[in-house]
Amino acid sequence: MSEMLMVGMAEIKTSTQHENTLVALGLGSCIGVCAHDSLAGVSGLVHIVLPDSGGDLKTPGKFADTAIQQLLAEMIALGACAYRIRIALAGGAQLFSFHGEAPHLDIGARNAQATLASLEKARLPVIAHDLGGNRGRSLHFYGDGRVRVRIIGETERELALLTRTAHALSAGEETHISDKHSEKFFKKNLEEYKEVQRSMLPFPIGIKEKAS
Amino acid sequence: MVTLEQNPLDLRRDALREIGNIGAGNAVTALACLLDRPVQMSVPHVGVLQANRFIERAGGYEALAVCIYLPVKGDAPGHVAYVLPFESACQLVDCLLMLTVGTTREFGEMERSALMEVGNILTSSYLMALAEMSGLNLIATPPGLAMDMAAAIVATIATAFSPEEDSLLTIETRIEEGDLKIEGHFIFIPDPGSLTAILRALQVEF
Repeated sequence: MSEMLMVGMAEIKTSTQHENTLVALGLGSCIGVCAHDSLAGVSGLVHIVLPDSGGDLKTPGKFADTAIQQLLAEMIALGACAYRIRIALAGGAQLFSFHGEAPHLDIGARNAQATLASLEKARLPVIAHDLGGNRGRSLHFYGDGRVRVRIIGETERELALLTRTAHALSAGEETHISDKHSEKFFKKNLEEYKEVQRSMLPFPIGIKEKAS
Repeated sequence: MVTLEQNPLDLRRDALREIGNIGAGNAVTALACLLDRPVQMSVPHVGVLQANRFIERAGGYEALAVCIYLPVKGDAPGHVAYVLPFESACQLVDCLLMLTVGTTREFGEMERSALMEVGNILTSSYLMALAEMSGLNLIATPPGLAMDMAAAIVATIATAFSPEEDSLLTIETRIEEGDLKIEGHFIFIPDPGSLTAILRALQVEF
């Protein structure tokens, strides 16, 4: 049965059901990080609120420096493998505008920076991100690895496709993506995707470059 | 440090509720002066709400909301915000610009400016009530404006300004006058330590 799992502030939710959708609504300065291992069929979404825990381990999902490790641990417990996990993230906006000088409201930018640093430290490849700006976002992460972003007053758009199908596509294999939109999106981002994969070291399935 | 959440004594909460009531009363008096007509305001709810619960009360996660926020400096630094649904904000602008209710449908520079001004007046008069009651020196600084999903706004003010705390002291207000219906929430977010200072000034035992 398909389910919508709401991921509130500082929460981490995982799913092993292909039909489930993980949802983070109204990300302002917060960041939603989607992680997916398509072979194991494990998805996870964390709703990060602040950049630095300062050693506080009570709510690991709240802080950029602890959330990624916790998300990884929970996904591995469900059978995911760290080296197969792909990441897409969104959020980190600056909603408030001021007349003249703005006070210390750059929390969104600091969240984005800390989260990216944390992902790099964990050696998780970021396939796509939509960070910064001054608009809030809603994030829908489908069980098949599709990540969609919605901004008020705009149409929902595809942010990434975190699947092995995508990998196969990049290796020039036959694929069976049914969603034309995703396919189009992915072909466009193919070069970028290959680049990310090349930079990943312990990757078991080598990218087959087509012999010319 | 005193936090709102782990607050076992109703006395403190009552003190804050009282501040809320009086503050909102002051704010509506200011609004009546500004609009030059009598305004009826009710306060359906005053209390401490968790951020998620508050978002639900404010119209739902993805509902379009407007927030006027201003930082408070002085003896008890913190933040005051006025959050209202988009429709209410439009009506408020109509009132201010002396237009028929229902005229404003989108926000340009003029509307934003008007809204920021009224937000400034409302929040400042709320602050003034608190300052008078407590005898503390509280200074309002220029406001900021945001227009976005309710969840995004609430999360931003709840966390950016009080990292330790995701509960908010909120005062739900409803202004009704003829076909005018403006719903809004005042939110008071004390900086760490400020709540202690306020309660001490109000001579509430804790």
